[in-house]
This record gives sequence, structure tokens and C-alpha cells, in this order.
Amino acid sequence: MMRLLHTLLRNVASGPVTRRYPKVPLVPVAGARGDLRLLVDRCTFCTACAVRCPAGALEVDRKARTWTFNPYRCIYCHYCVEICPFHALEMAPLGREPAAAKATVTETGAAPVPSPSRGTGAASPA
Amino acid sequence: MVLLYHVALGVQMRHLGLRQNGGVAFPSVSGVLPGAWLYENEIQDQFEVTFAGLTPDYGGKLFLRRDVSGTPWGAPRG
Amino acid sequence: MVIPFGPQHPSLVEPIHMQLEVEGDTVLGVRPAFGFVHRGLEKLAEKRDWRQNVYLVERTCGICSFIHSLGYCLALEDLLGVEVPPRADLLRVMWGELHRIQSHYLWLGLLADAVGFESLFMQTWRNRERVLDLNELTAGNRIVVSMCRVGGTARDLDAEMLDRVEATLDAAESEFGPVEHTFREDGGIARRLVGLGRITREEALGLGAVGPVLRATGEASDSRLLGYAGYGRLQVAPVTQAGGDAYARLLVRLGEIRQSMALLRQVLPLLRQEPGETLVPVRKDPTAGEALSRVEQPRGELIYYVRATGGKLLDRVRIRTPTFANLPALVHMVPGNEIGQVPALVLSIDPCVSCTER
Repeated sequence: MMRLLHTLLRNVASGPVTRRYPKVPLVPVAGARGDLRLLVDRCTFCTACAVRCPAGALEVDRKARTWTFNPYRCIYCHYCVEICPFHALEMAPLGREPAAAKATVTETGAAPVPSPSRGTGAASPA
Repeated sequence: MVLLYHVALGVQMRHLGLRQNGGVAFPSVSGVLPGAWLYENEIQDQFEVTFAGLTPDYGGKLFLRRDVSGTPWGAPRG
Repeated sequence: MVIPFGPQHPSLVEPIHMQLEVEGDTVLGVRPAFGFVHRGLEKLAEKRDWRQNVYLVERTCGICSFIHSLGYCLALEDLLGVEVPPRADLLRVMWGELHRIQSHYLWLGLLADAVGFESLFMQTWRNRERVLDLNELTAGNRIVVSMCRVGGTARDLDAEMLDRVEATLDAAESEFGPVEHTFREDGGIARRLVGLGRITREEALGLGAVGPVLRATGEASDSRLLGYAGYGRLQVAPVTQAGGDAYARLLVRLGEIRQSMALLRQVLPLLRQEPGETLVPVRKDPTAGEALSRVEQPRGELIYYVRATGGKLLDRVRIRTPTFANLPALVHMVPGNEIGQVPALVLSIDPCVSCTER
């Protein structure tokens, strides 16, 4: 009886143990695997991430310099982040926000800077 | 097709292989190991093999729906 | 008269279908039908290269996923001839035991719910959250931690993280006390479970039962005694009971939570004292061969059989899950009981139907 009373008072005094999401925003945990983002300045569109993704969530067009991510196929396994040779991918600690419709995320890289011509002295493209 | 049997008791395990060249009918071990019926029924569902003497025998319909014909892996390879 | 149990049932977390032939209130026979959560994982594993398969197999089960990836990685490491660094072995034990604790907590909660003790179910799952938060802190995700790689583990833990693991373990142990006490002392749970689904040791061995179902009949069989990963360095004594019924299985799982906490206490000092690398790079594909690994999942012995013929893709991946091994024992146990007892009976073997049907 006393233990029951003690438990009752303790439960009344302490708050709820469940998270009050979405009223209270989630607290991100460092290192958690969430939404994938591309640091487009580092990306060389080598397609390594698209080849390795187990779920087929990434598409990379090397010529057009586009990186397309389908967040609804992503399984948050972190493989792409680990194998990117240029460390151009990162995972935010929280998942993406709820959305009304499915959409893919596309990043386009800047046009490659032409390297200075060597040798013949022919005019280089601007 | 090679059928592999891995039998364990505690930390010991024995591996046996039963090879049948081109055959698809295997003898069942459910008379010796009563619990083998589930394994053999599953193989019947997945590959086109049969086990003679299997009890209980669900005829390839334990995992597959009754209206499905054929098996996911098809005929055994090699 | 035939009454269908499942595929939807309030006590079932996952769909399983059994047609019960009943006479009055007593079940005379069972005709099972499975396949409601079949995802074709074994066939999919032949279409992904062996590195991507780690992410595939750990999603076989949503409760014990790390141990699936551990079994697969052990089989691949055997095939490739890769030696895993000792620190990675210890980290694998750590995450494996954390998974065992949260899996048993999940089952305890479901059992409490099945016998009607809902507040205990909520307490148990609240305690479980502490372990899941620890998973998120150390590994990045609550259950599907993706920490096992062929060649070691993906992350290392520094001293500060180990301190937090230890603090969480202290809190989890003190919270487990009242929950364990309630499970052991409550008369209602005992009345529902004592004598339910009793099998003898010989029957369990003949039917191929594994894990707590086998250990509750008195057989001291535990795959961790094989000494894979870091278990070779730790003291593992299988938790056994003699009753063979559902109550004995409950006591075995309660004892295993304590055992997992004790194993974590053994592993943490070793992790503090022995630095080292945690991942060995593996650059070559497996040559032709086959390998088999046996690991102890919370539900029993899990076997991975892997066959390669050279190249990136594997020829055959066969997963023999413990619930698959326990199903013949379950089908043997059900006849003779009343219909009202069937949900608690099915739950007492800790069925993980996703594992069974991969």
C-alpha cells in the first residue's frame, strides 16, 4: 500500500517520459544519421555514391554535373558518406521535415573551370 | 543440386552434403529429426524439389499462396 | 471446427497465420501458413555486392538487427580470411549485448501486454528507451545501428563515450530491479504462464529448438560459448531453467538481461584499457568458397551460410533464424491448450516473424 502511494506520488511529481514531439522540437544527437546533404563545392560527380547505394536512392550524371537524391528510398545506412572520396556528403543529425508530397533533391555543380592550355599556344575556350 | 545439412548439438556441428545430379527427389529426414519438416517444406516452396516421406507435407503451399504456380528460385541450378 | 489465428491478432506484432482445429475450447491441431512478411531477402542478397549486403541483412529484423550483420560479417570474414582487430571484437560484443537487452525488454513488454498488465508493458518499454537512446548516442541510430562492417566496426568510442555508456548501464540496472521484481512476484503472470506449453528437453532437441526455448528445458546451449567476436575472452554461462514451460522461458529471459548487463561490465574496462584500430580495410573480393557462422541472437542461434564463386556478387546467402528453428516446437506445443491461451503461448517463444520469413 505504501509502495503504491509512493509510486503514485512519484509519478504525479515527475513529468511525462514521452517526448512531446511535435510540440517540443526533437533534440538532435550528435552523430545520428539523418537527412543526407551534398556539399556541392566538393563534389566531382564521380558516381561512387550512386553505384554503392544499396537502396538506389542516388543518381549522378557526370556530364551534366547533377546529383539527385531520392530521400524516400534512403535507408540511412551512411554508406555513401563513408565512401565518398572527397568527403562531399554529410548526414544531418535529424531526419527531414514532414512533407506533403514526395520530391527528390537535385544539386547541380558549377561548370568546370577549364585548365590553362599547354603546349601549342592555341586559343583556350573562355 | 547439393542439399546441405548442418546438424548441431551444443557447440559441435557436422556438415553433410547430399548431391543429386539432375534429380529433384530427395529423401526426407523428418522421420529422424521431427523438426525438419519446416526446413524441407520451405525448400519445396522455394525450389522445385520434392522430399519423399515428408510429414507433414504442405505440397509447396506453406509459404506460397495457393493460387501461385512455380517457385521463386525455379529449378535447382547445377 | 477451424478457427483462424492471425494473420491479424491483437497479441501479434507481426502477421503469422495458424488455422486451429478446435473441439469446444481445446485446440486439437494446427495448420500453419506463413509468408506474410516475406521480402525475398535471400534472393536480393544475390543481386547486391557483398559490401552492400551488410546493410541488407541488418534489416532482416527490426529488433535484433546488429546481430544479423554480425553473423553475416563473420561469415564473410571467414570467406575472405580477414582478421578482425581485437578492439572491434569488443565493440561488437558491446553493441550485441545492448541489442539483447533491448530485445528482451521488448519481449517482456509484449508479454505483459498479452496477459493484460498494460502498465508494466509501458514501464518496460520506457526502460528500453534508455538503451535505444544509448544506441543513438554511440552508433547513430536507435535499432538498425549499421555498426558492423566486414573487417571490424564502423566507429570507435572514446573515453567520454564509454563513461556515458557506463552511466547509462548503472541507471538501466537500477531501473530493471523493480521491473524484474514485478515479473517474478506477480501472481497473475505466474498463473497465466506456469505449465503453459511445456516441452521436455528431448522433445526440444528433436524439434530443433534453440535459444531461451531450449535453455528453459534445462539444456545449457548458447552459441556465445563458441567464442566468436569478443566472447572468447568473457565469462558466458548459459542461463537455464528446468520447467520447460512459458514461465521458465520468462525466467530465462529475465536472467539473460542481467547476464547481458554483467557482460557489458566485463567489456567496458577492456575497451578502456586496450586501444587499437577498429576496421581493417578489405580490398579484394571473395574467391570461390563457402562459410558458415553461428551467432547467438536474443531468440536463439542464428546461422549464416554464404557461398561465393568469385567476384562481387555472392552465389547464395542462407539465413537460418532462431524463430524458424523454434516454429516446429511451437506447432508441437499448441495442441492440447485452450484457445484463450494460444496468444500467450505464441508469444512465449519470442516470435520474430520478419526473421522467419526474411
